[in-house]
This record gives sequence, C-alpha cells and structure tokens, in this order.
Amino acid sequence: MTGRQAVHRLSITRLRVTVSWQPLILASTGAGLLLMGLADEQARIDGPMSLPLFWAGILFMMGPSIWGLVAPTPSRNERISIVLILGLALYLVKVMASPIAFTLPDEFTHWRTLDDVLSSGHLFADNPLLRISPVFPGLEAATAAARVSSGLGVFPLAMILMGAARVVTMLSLFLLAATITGSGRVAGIASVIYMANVSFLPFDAQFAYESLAIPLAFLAIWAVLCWSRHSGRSLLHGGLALAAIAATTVTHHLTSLVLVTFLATWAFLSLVRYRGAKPRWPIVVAAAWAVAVNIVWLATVGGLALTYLRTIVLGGVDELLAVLRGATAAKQLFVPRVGLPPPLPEIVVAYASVALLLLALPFMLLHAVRGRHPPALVLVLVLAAVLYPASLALRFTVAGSETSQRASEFLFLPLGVLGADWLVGSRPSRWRPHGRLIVVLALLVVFAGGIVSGDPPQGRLPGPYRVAAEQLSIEPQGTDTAAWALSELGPNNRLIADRTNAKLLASIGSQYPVTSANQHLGTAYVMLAQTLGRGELDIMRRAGIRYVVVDLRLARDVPVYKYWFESAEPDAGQHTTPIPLAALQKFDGLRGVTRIYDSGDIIIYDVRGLVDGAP
Amino acid sequence: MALRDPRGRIATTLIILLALGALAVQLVADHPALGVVSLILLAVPGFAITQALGPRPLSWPQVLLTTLGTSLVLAVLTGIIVAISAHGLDASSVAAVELVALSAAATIWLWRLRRREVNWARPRIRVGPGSLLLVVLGLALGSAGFVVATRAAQDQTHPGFVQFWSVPPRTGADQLLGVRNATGLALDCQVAINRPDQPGYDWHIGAIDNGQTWLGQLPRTEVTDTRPWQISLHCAAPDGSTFDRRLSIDPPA
Repeated sequence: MTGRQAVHRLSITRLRVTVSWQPLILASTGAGLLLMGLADEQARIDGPMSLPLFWAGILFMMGPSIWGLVAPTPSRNERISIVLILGLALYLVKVMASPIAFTLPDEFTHWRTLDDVLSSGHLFADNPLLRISPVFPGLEAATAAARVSSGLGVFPLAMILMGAARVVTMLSLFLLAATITGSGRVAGIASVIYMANVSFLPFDAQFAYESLAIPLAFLAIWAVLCWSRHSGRSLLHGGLALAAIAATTVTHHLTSLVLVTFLATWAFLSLVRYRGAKPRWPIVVAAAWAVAVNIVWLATVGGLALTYLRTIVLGGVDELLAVLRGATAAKQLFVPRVGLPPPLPEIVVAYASVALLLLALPFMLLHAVRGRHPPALVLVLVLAAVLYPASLALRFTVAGSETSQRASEFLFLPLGVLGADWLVGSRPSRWRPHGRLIVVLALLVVFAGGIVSGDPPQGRLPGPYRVAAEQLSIEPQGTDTAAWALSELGPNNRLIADRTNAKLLASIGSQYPVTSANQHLGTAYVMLAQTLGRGELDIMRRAGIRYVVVDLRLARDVPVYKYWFESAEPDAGQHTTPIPLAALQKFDGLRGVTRIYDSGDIIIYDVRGLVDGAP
Repeated sequence: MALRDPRGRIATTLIILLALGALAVQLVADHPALGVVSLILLAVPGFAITQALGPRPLSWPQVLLTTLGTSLVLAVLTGIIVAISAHGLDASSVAAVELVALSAAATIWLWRLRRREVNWARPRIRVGPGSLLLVVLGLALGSAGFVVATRAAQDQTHPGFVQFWSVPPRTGADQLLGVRNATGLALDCQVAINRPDQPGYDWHIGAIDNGQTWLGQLPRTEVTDTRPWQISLHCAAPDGSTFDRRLSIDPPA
C-alpha cells in the first residue's frame, strides 16, 4: 500500500469536511448501539419491536464496518481501528443485555470460584456448580489479583477484564492474519469472518474461563510467529509466547489442548518442510513448552479435565454415530422446546450462512495451497479448516451441539484467514467472487447466520421471567433468597434446588447444591417424585441434604432450557408438561420437615429431622 | 548516557513515579476512588516490559497488544503464583510480585536506553473537525444506548414479593421471626401463630415500608409444646393487593 493510499480520506463535498473511515464507522456503530439499547428496553417489556431493533442495530454496526474493511483504500491503521471498534461494540451488546449484574449461567459458576479464591486467598476449593472450574483458575486468579489491587466490585471488574480480553482477541487476530498474509485488508476481513463464529457474540463475552483463554491462546500464536520471524532474537515475543502458553494452560482445558495441538502440528510441519532453511527452533521450543506445561498441570491438578472433555466430546461422537446408523433420530434444528421458533428469515439466513461457508471452503483451501510452497503455518490452518464440516455434523446431535459450538471459536480462525485471503488476497484466484457489494452481502449473511445459530431470540436479549430459561430466570426473588440463605443459614449447607436457584444459591448464597454432576447422586429424582419414598430418602441421606429449596413456578411451565434441575434428570430435553404441583408440595407437613422460609414462589424446607431421623 | 537525554530523563522519572504510584494505590486500594486508577496502573508493568524487551520499531497496535496481553498474562500468573504460595493472595503479595516485574523491566529498559537501543517515535494524531464531530456523535449515541439499556434493566418491573422466615438461631439466642417487604409498596401486616397445644397468638406488626425488614421474637415455648407451630403472615397493600405466607417450625428451643 502506498503512502498516498494509506492516508486516503473520504470527502463529503457538500459539507466541505474531510473525514477518515474510523469516525464514520464510530458514528454508525454508536447508532447501532443506541438501537441495541432500545431493543433491550423493548425486550424487557416483551415488546414486539425488540427483534427488529436488534437486527437494525447489528446492521448499523456491521454494514459500514464491513464495507470499509472490504474497500481497498483504508490504511492498515484504519482497518485495525475498525476491527477494534467492531469487536468492542459487539462486546458491549452483551454487556448491555445485562448491564447491572451477572445473568448468564456460566458467570455464576465462575463467580463462585472467584469468591472462594477471594475469601481463602488460595486455589482449588470445591465448586458445586462446576468441579472443573477451580482446577483451571486463571480467570479467577487474574480477577482476584485485580480485585485486591483495585478494590473495585467484582461485576464492574469482570466487565473491564473481559473488555480488555476482547481487545487482545481482536488485535492478536488482526496482527496474526496480517503477519501471515502480509495484507491489512485480508486481516480486516479475516477478523470479520472470525466474529461470525456462533460463540462470539454472547458466549465468548461472558465472565467465563474460555473468554479469557481464547485471547491468551491467540496472543501466544501471534507471539510465537513474531518470535520465529525475528529468528528467536526478540525477548519480548519469546517471553510473551511462553508466558501466554502457561497462562492459557492454567485458564482453560479445551483451549490449552487445542493450542498444544496447533503448536505441535506447526512445529512438526516446520521441521519437515523447512529443513535447514528457516529459523524454526522458536516454534519447536514453544510447542515443547506447551506440551510440558500441559502435562505438568494435568498430572498435578487438572486430571479431572480429561474425564470432563472425554464425556463432552465422545458423547457427541457416539450420538452422531448412532444417528448415522439410524439407531436414534437426528436433532431437529431451530425447533424450540417451548414458545415460538425463530422467525423464518432468521432460519433462512442461518442455513445460507453455513451454505456459503461450505461452498467457499474448497476454493479457499485450494487457493491456500495452489501455485506455491505454502508455509507450515498456512498448512496448519488448512488442516484445521478441513474439520469445519465435521463440526457441523455434531449439530444434529443433542450431546454434540455444545462441542460443535465450542469448536467454532477455534475453527473460524483458519476459516477467517484462509477465507479472507481467498476473497481479497494479493495472489490472484480464478474462482474468487467479484464485486464489493457481493462480498459485503455475503459477509453480512455469514455474520448474521452465526448470531442465529448461536442463540435463539430469547437467548440474545433480556426479557421477563420464564421457567428454566437461563438468564431470563434470574430475577430479584431468586437473588434475594440466595442472599437471605447466606445471611441466615450460613455458607456451604448441602441442599437441593433447581438449576436457576442452584446457580444463585451457590454464588450469591455460598451454598452447596448437591447434584449428580458434583456428587453422583440423583437429587433431581427426589424433586420430581410425586411422593417421597424409600429411594428418594436414601438419596437425601447419602447426600447429607440439610435444606430443600422449592420454586413453585416450575409447576407453571415446561423448561425453556433442556431441564429444570440438571441434564441427568428423568426425561431431560423431552419435557412436555410442567412439574405436577403435588411433587413440589410433597414436603409440606412431612414429619421431621419444617418450612422455614416462604417468599411466595420460593419455599425452603429444613429436612434435617427427616434425613437424620430413623430410617 | 540515557539520563543525559531529556526524553530519557522524563521517561525514567515517569515510570518510577508510575511504579511508586501503583504500589501506593495497591496498598490503599480500599478507597473506591482509587480503584480505577489502580486498575490502569496494573497495565504499567505490561507497558514497561514491552518497552524494555520489545524489538524496534513497534507499531501502536503491537505496543497496545503486547502491553494489554502482557498485563493479562501477568495478572493470571501473578494470581496463580501468590495464591499457591503459603502467604496467599492479598493486596500486598500481588503488589510485591507486580513491583518485582516492574523493577526488572525498568532496569532492562534503562540498560537499553544507555546502549541507545531505544528509539523514541513521536506519535502523530491528526483529527479534522469533521472527524471530531463524528467521533463525538458516535460516542454520544453509543453512550445513549448504554444508558437506555441500563435504565431499562434498573426499571424492569418484577412481581413484588414478601420474604417471611424463622430459623433456629446459630448462637443460642432467641429464635426470631422475620418479614422483608420487597413489593414496592408499604404494607400493613399481621402474624397468626397456631400452637396446637397452646392458645393461638395474633400479632399485629403494623406498617412495613418497601425495602424494610421487620424482626420479632417468637413467644416462649411451653413444656407442653411438642407439635410444630403453624405461622401465617397476612399483608395488605393500599392498592388492595394482599400477600399471604406461611411457615411450619418446631417449637423454639
């Protein structure tokens, strides 16, 4: 790019002012955020305009930004600015949906771990919501360090930390793509394609370990590349690479394993392809360090991760094989358990998005390897991009949907870099789509499809209370009950509660909800039984249950999410009727049971007399 | 010598002041006004390390990425190291580790300054009036959106509720009855205690304002009290709405 092009300006002749790309895009992004705020306001009163306003906001943010990034004239700095503005604006979309407190389920999980670190000053306390969380405490350790240093509240601190993580994600992504392809234009579009992954908008913006581990992993890859480019002489990049790898390892299991695989493949291909030609030892050192740090962490404290990941990944693969054999039915996409399905245009856009990526995949792979001796890093990206169709297949399974969603946040890195290089890279391509408008429209469809596939409408926006509906079930009666429990009952009482109240009671209330996930005891069966029999009582005794928390609202509707209590409950994912009221009221009047708390919808029973009584 | 260079002197003074400021603020971080300042100062070690170890020249995106990235990595590793240590994670241990990192980086930086390995690139930012107008407009619109979303979250109406409880005391004190009004309205409440082996007990609490908690001591248990007490609460609001709650507790010890 020439110096003249680098300072290109748009002229708005009527106003006789000269402006660059960033202010224009900042203004349209600001307008998009205003529309998003109005969408949130509408959604909270169940207003009909919430979804149209949401999409209008997305269009205001994405349209001009993508247009600017596809245009050949902006300088590299302008492109980086646009990518940063866009990445932060999309982060703010999540923050604005819950601007005053945590509402996403995973956030309560990590809040509990953070609370344990802050109260004890040490790591690895048992977390009843997710036992793997304290084993990978990088997020909580960083937040706790910032908390004791700054004195800021946990919620604002978490939002600032995740915002900083988002900046690191966008910058490392852009600079990585720019270093690989040598083009700021390719890097800008690669960043947009990455933002189209289904986890980007809400999931990777929440206060959770993966949201921090991904930027750390991207930072590590970029630093290794720079270290290698400087022939191993840059202390900054070398140190940063090794430190970022270590930080990723202690922050998130899956991300660190993906990073190890990526670096090891890169090192292997570098050794095979560049024998004696280019400095490759920094890549090998980084890969060896990643392997060593992971082995040490997994062997000392993180062994639980292997069981956890095996369950998640193999569960999906097993179900997919059963679907292919015809032994079980494939999961129907975009069919909600309750309420209205997503609007038809959204479903069309989601399918079009996947179709565009699948259609483009062979061309981008061919373009990456054709007519040159591709660098080892490009070959790693090609190998990773090939996995994209396989990850989509998991979408047709109940158990594998989550794996597919998680995979997208890694697979869209190669898809972004290779796809952008194919679309606008400097090397010519015979099968490249022509016309800026076509490329912009295609990118808009791919991005919108990612949003639709990631979450149903009720998952994207706030709203009134609904039964077992993740963030929509968080409301003052539940949070105040949890705060009451800590104040009046003290911490760490073993209890049974539904999923929403369990999250609140374990985080705000510091209680210990017992589930089959943390104690291998099916407490949900106790709650769903119409009467309390010998089997249910035996579960309560073995679990050492002290309190039972009953939310009578569970008898009003079927769960929006898959279950009321946990995935191991009877008929999880297939509930067609609400819980019978009799099942929830069965503790009333039982010998040895006292009713100690009543807030209208939520009742707390003290069952010590029943559990400790004669069998 | 770096310190003969006026820019070197200014930079060195600045980083030492920032280091001391970071340490001081971290040690008195209880003051909420210092929270944000302290958080910004947490990025100082990252910036110092970038300046100390970075190759030249680094573009502003690279400086921003390495500063933020190093700060995040340092925060993670510092938190892990001090929390694993016997001392545990607190303000002083975090400040100590950050100060060690900062001092090491500052020393290397000064050493490189002395060897004239550090280039001083002057950042140039030119902003025209049209651009400035659009930046202000964008920030204003975005802020307005954030304010709208925040106000909507604060003003979202949820069904009002009344909390009613009685829990055996943990410290041997008398058992209390509690009522908390979260209805958004002032309530007039009364309690009826049904003791199967004793005469009933009616209790007019009176007015409880929104957000207020009322605590009352339960009547003494008689020796003949063996069966659970049934306690009911009835509250009425000026708009005619009523709230009924009930408890069933063992006779207080």
